[in-house]
Amino acid sequence: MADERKEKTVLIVGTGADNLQHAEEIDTLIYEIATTMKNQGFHTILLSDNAFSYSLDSRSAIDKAYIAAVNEVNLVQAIRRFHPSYILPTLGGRHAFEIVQEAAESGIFQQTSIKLLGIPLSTIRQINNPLLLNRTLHNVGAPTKAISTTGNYQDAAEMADKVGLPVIIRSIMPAGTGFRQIIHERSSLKQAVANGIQRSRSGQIMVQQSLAGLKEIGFIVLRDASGTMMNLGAIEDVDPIGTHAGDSIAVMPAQTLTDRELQDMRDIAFAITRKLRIVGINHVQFALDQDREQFYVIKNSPYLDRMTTFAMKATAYPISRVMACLYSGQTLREIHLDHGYYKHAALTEPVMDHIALRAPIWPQKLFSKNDCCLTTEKKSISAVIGIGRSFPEAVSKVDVIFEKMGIEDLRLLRQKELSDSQLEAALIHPRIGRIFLLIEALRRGYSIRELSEMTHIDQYYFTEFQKLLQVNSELLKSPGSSPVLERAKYLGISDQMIARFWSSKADKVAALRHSHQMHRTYKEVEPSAGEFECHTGSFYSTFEQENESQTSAAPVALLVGMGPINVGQSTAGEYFAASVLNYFKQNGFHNVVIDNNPSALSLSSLLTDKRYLEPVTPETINSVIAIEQPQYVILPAAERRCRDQLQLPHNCRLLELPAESDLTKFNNVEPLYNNNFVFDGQRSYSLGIIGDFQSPSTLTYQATGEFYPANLSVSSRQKIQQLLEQQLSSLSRPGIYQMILSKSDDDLVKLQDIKPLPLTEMVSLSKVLGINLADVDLRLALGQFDGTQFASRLGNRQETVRAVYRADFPFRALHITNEDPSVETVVGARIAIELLKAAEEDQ
Amino acid sequence: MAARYLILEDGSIYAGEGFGAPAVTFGEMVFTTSMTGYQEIITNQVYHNQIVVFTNPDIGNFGIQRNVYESILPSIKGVVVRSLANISTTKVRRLTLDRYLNSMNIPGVANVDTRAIVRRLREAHKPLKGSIVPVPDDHAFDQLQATVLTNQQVAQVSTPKPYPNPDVGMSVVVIDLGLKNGILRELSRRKCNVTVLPYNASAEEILRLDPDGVVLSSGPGNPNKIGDAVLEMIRKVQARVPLFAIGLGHELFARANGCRLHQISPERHGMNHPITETITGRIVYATQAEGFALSHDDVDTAKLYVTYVDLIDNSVQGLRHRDYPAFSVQFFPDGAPGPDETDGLFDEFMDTMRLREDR
Repeated sequence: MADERKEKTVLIVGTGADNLQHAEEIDTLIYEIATTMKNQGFHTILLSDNAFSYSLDSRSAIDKAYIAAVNEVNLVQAIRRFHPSYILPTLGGRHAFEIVQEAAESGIFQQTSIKLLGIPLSTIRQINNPLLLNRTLHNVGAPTKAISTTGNYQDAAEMADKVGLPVIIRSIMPAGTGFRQIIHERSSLKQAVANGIQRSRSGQIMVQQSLAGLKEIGFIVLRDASGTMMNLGAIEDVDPIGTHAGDSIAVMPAQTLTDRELQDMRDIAFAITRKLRIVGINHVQFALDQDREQFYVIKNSPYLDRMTTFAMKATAYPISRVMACLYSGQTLREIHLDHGYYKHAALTEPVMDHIALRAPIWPQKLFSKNDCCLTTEKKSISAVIGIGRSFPEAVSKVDVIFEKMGIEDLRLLRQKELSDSQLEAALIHPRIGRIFLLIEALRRGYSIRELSEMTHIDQYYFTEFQKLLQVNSELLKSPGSSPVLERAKYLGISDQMIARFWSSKADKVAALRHSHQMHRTYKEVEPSAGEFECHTGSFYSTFEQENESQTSAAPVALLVGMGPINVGQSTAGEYFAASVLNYFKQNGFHNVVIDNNPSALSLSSLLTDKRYLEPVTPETINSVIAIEQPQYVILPAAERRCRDQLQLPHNCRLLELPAESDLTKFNNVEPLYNNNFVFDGQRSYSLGIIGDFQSPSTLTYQATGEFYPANLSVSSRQKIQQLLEQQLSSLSRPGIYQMILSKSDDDLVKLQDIKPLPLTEMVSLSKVLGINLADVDLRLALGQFDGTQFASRLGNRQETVRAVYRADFPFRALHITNEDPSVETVVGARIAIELLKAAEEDQ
Repeated sequence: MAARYLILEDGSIYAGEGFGAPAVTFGEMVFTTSMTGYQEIITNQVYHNQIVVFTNPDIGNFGIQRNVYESILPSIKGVVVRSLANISTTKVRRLTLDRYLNSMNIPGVANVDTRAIVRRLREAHKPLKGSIVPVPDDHAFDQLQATVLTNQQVAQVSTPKPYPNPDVGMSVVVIDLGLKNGILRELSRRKCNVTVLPYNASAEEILRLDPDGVVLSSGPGNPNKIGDAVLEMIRKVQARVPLFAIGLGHELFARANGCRLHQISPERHGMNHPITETITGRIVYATQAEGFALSHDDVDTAKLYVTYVDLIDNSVQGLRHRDYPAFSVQFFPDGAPGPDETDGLFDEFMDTMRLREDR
């Protein structure tokens, strides 16, 4: 019996702190895949030190959380300690592949006869080594861009003639800083070659075909162990190669490709996936040259990434559930999806009767004073999804987000201040907020052909933008006109935006709309495009004839999503949201979520019954409230300002989530301590005291680096306890609170502030204490808190645990210098937890 | 765009905006879930007398291309879509979809709730007639009710007289039941010396050309309404030369060998169903345009065996004769549009012809 279970132990290589390469989607995918695998009898172990990971704490997903830095040493440690039969390396991005290969080379896999799930080791080696991968691509006939090395001008010139300009010249083994130049004109080639050779220690250069300006297309291929392959979709980037795919608006399905082009790329994507013997997802990216009828494979990623969650939300094909089944050894043909799917839905290629866009979200705060040009380095940190029944409608839905995030200088109206030459420069050198520049150029009368030549963006997109502009000018001309309003709503334009054109208010526009019976209709996102009766629980809105979303029978809890994350926020909010959803689910509620972050954990079908993939604005929330008639509406702190605009049903209770991090930024030259406690209305329960590290750059103490427990003298502790008791009477309602205290050199403890415990600390403290504090906070708010039970769960953990928390910042990934790390620029955090000997043995 | 309406015989009205020709047409309603190849679909003669609803919300995105027609004279009766992109781009794509349909006298309706229409068609459980009209009044509905759609589709689209498509390889006779250019393209790629004959060519007329093999093309309409003469021709030809039948050709090949087909509703038009090759278990995807299906029970297993099955409804998608070098598939191995994972069937046909030659 024990042996049997041991045979099914799987070690999942997770990620460290959220970083820009695989921000928030990984935790969502781990949660879904691990839960499904656990339900199929696997014992699941997760290696990760993501302080905000929900999966690590969820016992319905992960049996054993191994909280440690994700590196080769800890991977080997985990193997020795837990003796897993399988390792799942596809959920930790490229980094996981690197450490798995390192671990494999130590021979431990053979010693312990561990098997890899999803991808053979030989393929991992190829993915980690571009030369090996290129050879494989060549073997299957996949075209790649031409590269050659030479030490003289003649060869370089010959190469340039063969592949056509532009070419990229790089020096091999550069002496000092590397040399890289893109050559557009023949006349500058000679000088570049000379410079390149001169800068190379070996006297050699690399002449590389430039793919800049070509269309970028991604295919998501799924393969099972029996070799069956299917295409989950083709995704087209609006921007050409030259802008990182993560910084371009991505469109699904691909809009401007002929069938021949699509089928040819599909064949190659299948051939590569077959050759690499992948079981699961392979994301293959192509550069397409439509004029020369040529395409090139530019990237091959056989691991789960941002496109996985996007494709999953865009098609409602349950990728993570299917992946878990594939990892469990089932074939696509054997997978039976229940929950409203049709027979063999897992084996049927998804089709769409809607258009989904994925639009990047940039950390605007960081770029206002820095370079905001878009290049081949990714600059976005999150994304939103917009689904519509037409391209303009989908664009309008992602457009709303910029308005909401207050990215004012990116807005349509502001672009008017640019001169024509400034505008042209910005068209040729893409920058943040690109879509508005494209639309502004159209408005100024640049022809579609001209713009397409300047930007290498397909004419189709400009033609569709033109539809939006047309309605915009109609709106300006006829304030209050209901036929124009109808046309504007048909293209998805928000009440807020219309109000701006009419110098009116959004609620006035809404009133006019309602008086003319222009209501949202909801369509279900399902993978058969209406061919079969199919219910996925995912909806998007449009203004059409037929509505498909009905009021739920069970009592409804409606969670308003956090939307995309930005710097200063983190996935701690998702942790809290997931905990809330879990609570309501346990208590018989029908969970409904409205959100537009395709990677959000709260949009997981394991946590919710119904999902509205919509931008979060008072207009869209009210529309969902009108259908769902919720008993509870849960609002994130960031949406607090729309509270008064919500039209809540009678008896509906509004709950607010705690703030993400404190807005009053404590930045103190004296050491800071945070005393955390639960207050149930009468008494307090101590959660221990946290100490802040001193920031090495600013020499101040702040909550971006913390240790637990704080190292304080007995007298300091007593003083803090006194301060606490004095403060208790001032607390108006139950909750989890934090006192911020400073300590001077002469040991004088002073109270700086008392406030609800910020989300980030609530989540990391949950890991330290082994108790889900988000759940506790919710119970306190609902009057469901059981003090005795809580005290016994706390036990003596505070005395037996030590932890260190360090926030992560996006500066290095974004190539930003001279930025101070602060709570406002945090993107994620790592945590290290150590249980003292005695406690460890107890476990 | 002017207001236009799609009306259905069950009384439903969908208001939208017209594109293409301002003509009033009648046809049988079908929907396709294909996400690529609108031009190939519109010009495929399999849609003769049908009005096609595209579930893909946006078509026309790159205009009309000179090299992807599936027939020169499309006979589709109307195009229904959520959103039309009216684009003509480079020189190989000179025409917009709107202008092309106008010149071919084919009407279209855009800005309608295609998802609602598809649900209506799916839940009707029988074929519905539809019409694209400028005014959805009683007169329009009376006309729609009174219209009897032809059952002579094949006679209407098949070439009236033979024509050659010469090359240097195997000699192949293609029987035009509503020929799709993709079939000719695949044969050209294999250097076949093709002669296209009308659907009513007799076995004698075919065999007189001494072909290495015969292809029965895809085509429109009800296979049960095709006269016995064609079935008789198939029975004679299959006994003499290699035969490869596609689409309607497959349906007639099945009938000629004692099978019965039943009508399905809604019809199946798309390219995403898993189809399994029974002998290997391999899963393939291919374009399907099917209004009739063959169940396993209706296969005369003394003469035929099943080679391909659609896993979603278990319908027979491919057959092979036990005694003769004759085989068929109901899906389109020539793609255009659609995956070309099954284009190897043309190679199989070539091998079959070569084997016979060697004997």
